[in-house]
Amino acid sequence: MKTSKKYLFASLFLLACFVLSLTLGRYPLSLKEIFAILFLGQGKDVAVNIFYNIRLVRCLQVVLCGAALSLAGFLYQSGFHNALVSPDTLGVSGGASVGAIIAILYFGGSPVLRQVFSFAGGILAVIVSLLLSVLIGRDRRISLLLAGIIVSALANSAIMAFKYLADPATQLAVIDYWLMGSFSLIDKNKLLITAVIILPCLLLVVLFRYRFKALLLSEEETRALGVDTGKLYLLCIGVSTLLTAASVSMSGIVSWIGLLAPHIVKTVFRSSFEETLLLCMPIGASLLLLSDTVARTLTMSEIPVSIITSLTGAVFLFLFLYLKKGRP
Amino acid sequence: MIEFRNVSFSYRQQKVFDDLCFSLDDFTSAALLGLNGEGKTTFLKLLLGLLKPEKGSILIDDIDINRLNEEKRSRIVSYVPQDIDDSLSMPVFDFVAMGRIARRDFFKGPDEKEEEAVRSLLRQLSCDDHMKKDISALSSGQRRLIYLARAIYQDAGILVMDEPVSSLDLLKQHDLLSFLQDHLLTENKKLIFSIHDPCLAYGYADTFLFFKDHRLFDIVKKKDTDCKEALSKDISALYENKVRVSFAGDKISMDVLE
Repeated sequence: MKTSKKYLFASLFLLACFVLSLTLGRYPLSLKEIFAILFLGQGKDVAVNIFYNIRLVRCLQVVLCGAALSLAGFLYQSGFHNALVSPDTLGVSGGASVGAIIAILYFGGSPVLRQVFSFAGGILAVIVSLLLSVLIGRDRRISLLLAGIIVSALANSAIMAFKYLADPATQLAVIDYWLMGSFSLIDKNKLLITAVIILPCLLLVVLFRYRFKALLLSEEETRALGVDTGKLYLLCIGVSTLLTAASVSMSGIVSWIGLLAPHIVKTVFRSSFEETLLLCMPIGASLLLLSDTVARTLTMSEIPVSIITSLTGAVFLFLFLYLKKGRP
Repeated sequence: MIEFRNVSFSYRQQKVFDDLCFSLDDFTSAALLGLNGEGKTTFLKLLLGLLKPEKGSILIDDIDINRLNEEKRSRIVSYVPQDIDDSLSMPVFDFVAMGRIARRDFFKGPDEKEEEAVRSLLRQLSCDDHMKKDISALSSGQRRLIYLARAIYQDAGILVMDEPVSSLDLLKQHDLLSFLQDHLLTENKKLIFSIHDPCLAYGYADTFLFFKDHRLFDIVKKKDTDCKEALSKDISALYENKVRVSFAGDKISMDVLE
């Protein structure tokens, strides 16, 4: 497939998923209704209200988070030379969870505090990982992976401890629900904050994509080619962390998208680095839109989105490995 | 001119060089000879600025290479590593074009002009039909040529190659080295490379650096009057007098003594 065709296909797919996701829900909106609301300013009050204040906001948030998680995953997979690392390899999700739980347990759990705490927790976890990796020394990629495992383990231990301490009647459910991820509490303000963090990061990666390509080479080669690898790795980790933390702090942990989208792009489109970098954003956004749509329409009450993403992730990973069998 | 001033280097506890001092001038192609583990790769990595000396300084044309940033250094030395990553997947053109990644603006990829330049370079190496292929689909010998193409495309003054011919068949070894010889002359570049075969080294280099016991113990130049005697002595010393070295015209021949 030609490059331009790939982009066209991915854009159309995203558009289709977006429209589908706009129409479906507890209160279904027909295409006609949406068209009338958008372009003619007409419609029942309740439909207009649901469209602008809930459905559209939520779908946009899902698109942002899907694109952010996919791109962060792709950057990490390229940087670590490891197809199986995900955006939370350096502990960002674990840190964000601990932050959110502390806000829920000890600071009344107001949504704003929860977001600030989890965002800060995510960033902090990555900083600790970076410091630990310096102490561990050796090959930079390996020490970072090891440090990430250590920090994630610490975060897991803290999460379990907090859950043990939490009041089972009230707090425990809130924590568990947060850990499973959901876009149900998104409003315009959250969308705005997410967009302010995520959009510049996406733009930066897209602009610098030719430079990020050097992540694929070994560190010595890259340096001999004249690239300051320290800065490049730091930029890669910094941007990926911001993308993931912004996403996780608003909607909880959404698993698998960061692993799945880049792999699907690579398998389906057989793409080069730059193409994959650009394509994994619309594809990741589409996958998350579909997952979120299923999560809120499958049953009477909404189910956490990670149930869907983990299930599809597992199935797709098997298919991916199976299809790749026999290929170099 | 390449100059090492009192350079010391060690990996953790293992001392590799202690107070290494020498200067090398007036050469086009310098071959590093020595057994495995005597510090040839370390020497090359020090020269490339990939390893930093614990003590001392390394100067190329009176510039301390460790005071330069990566981008400036990449204009002085380019590198073909010994180990080639065979898990890497990337189109050959993209890979070779990476040679000038540091010279482009951050947000720019290679343009059509560069595509033409890369194509003509690959044509010289007779591998322009691989241009659109993925590097992982090539044989290890072809891959080595592509690595060489990238280093040449980098357009630095000194090409540093770590055992460039070790994975090639006999004919390709000669092809590669004679290509390099022509390239150095026409482009006015220099080459420093490590190699195990003294016969090949003698055929294609004009300067020979001998490493033993973590020391650079001799530098021999082809234009020296006593070149052949010195080479015989040094090669025998490398192999602890287990080989006999003789010259037949302009060729070295070696026999292993039982």
